[in-house]
Amino acid sequence: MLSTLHTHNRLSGMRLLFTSAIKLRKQASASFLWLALLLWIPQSYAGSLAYITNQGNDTVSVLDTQKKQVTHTIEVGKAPVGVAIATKQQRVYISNANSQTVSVIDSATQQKVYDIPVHVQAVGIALSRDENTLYVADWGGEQVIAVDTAHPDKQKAFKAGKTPSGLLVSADDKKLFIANRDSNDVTVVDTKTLKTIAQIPVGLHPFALTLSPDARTLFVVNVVSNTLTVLNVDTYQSSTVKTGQHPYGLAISPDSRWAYVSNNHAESVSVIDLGNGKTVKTIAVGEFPEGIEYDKTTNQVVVANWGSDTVSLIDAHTNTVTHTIASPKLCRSFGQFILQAK
Amino acid sequence: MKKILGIIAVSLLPLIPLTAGAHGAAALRFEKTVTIKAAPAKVWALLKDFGNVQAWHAGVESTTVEQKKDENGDDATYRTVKLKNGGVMYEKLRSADDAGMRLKYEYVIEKSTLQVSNFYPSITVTGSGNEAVVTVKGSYTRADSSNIPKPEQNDDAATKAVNDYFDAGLESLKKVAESGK
Repeated sequence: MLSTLHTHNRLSGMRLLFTSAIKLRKQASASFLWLALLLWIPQSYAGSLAYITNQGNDTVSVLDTQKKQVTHTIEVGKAPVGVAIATKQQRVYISNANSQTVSVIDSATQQKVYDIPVHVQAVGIALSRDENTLYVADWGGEQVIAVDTAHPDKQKAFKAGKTPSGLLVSADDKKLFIANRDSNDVTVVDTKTLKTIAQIPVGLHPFALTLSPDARTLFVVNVVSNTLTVLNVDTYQSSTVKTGQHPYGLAISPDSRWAYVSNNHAESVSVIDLGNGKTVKTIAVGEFPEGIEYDKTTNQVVVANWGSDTVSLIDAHTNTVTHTIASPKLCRSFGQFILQAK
Repeated sequence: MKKILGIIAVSLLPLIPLTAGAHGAAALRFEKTVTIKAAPAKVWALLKDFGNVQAWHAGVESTTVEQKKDENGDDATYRTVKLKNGGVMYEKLRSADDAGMRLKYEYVIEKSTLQVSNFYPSITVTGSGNEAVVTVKGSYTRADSSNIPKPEQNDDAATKAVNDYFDAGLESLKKVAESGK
């Protein structure tokens, strides 16, 4: 984790140094002060990196959450949707629905290193905690594919429900949770045997999943029911919380107190108090908000707005949008898409 | 064949449980705008009349409205729009906001004939004086969600269905609203 952070910062610092050096030739010596400053502060400079998939123009925007700027745009496969972050590997995996591939990005250089053909409409994507296995949901089938990240041609398909969408691996790496959009349930798979060990009914059209910070609670958004299922990862006991219209994604605050839900058809994010299930605030964002995640480094909630081609940054202390940043086209960022700076 | 399927679907209406259709992984987006020489309120009055699409869309034969429970058990308004070309669109009203002059609805493919799924249009009227700007936008997906979709249910077919309906509709809306009726 730390080494990633250092590499990333060092590279950013060097790149800036290089760019600045070119400009310097034409500028007065006062610029040396600026250069010295840059050399001095790189550790505190870089924020987390949010990988924004642009389904509409086959690229990924890399958004520095502290600079509040897109620093890189990376060409990937066709119709990129999902994101999975491999911090130790310094890799970011992007699912491409239309080219039916997964693009692998080097998060130290922000360059695509290769594509993995998976031959399915890849949407949901998640990594095992040890980063050895990448799970890719087949939107067009009733299966999930396990890809060996060290040998990406080694793939094993196994059964899921109808239209598997969001994927998530438990903290102990033993269980894979699959939200099945069209069978209205969550499949729990034993990651050793790849066999189904439980099938849990949830609301109508479960789509995105996330875990509580203590990893004991699984949250599932139910798109058609306009609800959130709160599920115990061991006992599978659940409760339901109301959201806004057409919830597509959610993020949990590090203190486990708040859920931030992107309401795809209400141009808003609901801030829900998980203590009592009540919505305390509805924040206006862009159109068709989808991917949403909490950035612990800057305490911002990052929201990709598919309909507006923008990313909203919400200050989690004030629950207001502080910045709206353009991202080329149809941004989605389905899954866990932030490479945390620490 | 499509027509027959449409009729069957409509006749089975009360029997089929309400679930949104399967669809392609990558939703598509559309946006169309038309400027009309008419008061925005007048144009909005035409559009918000959920059970009277034939009043402004030349391709529509009739509209029938019904009230019933939706998939979540909530009261909802639905309409069956019969097209002059034999097509049927079954749609659920999501909101009609008079202050913002915006109508939102949902197309239910299981009881319709147009090959477009997860189709959620919103129609907004803005403008002032004697000039109204109508913007139709929304998301949709192809009808066949499989990894290799049938040609008549692929992304292009869905886009054509959306274009055919709204291009003709906005053209006739402009005519009707400007005719002074």
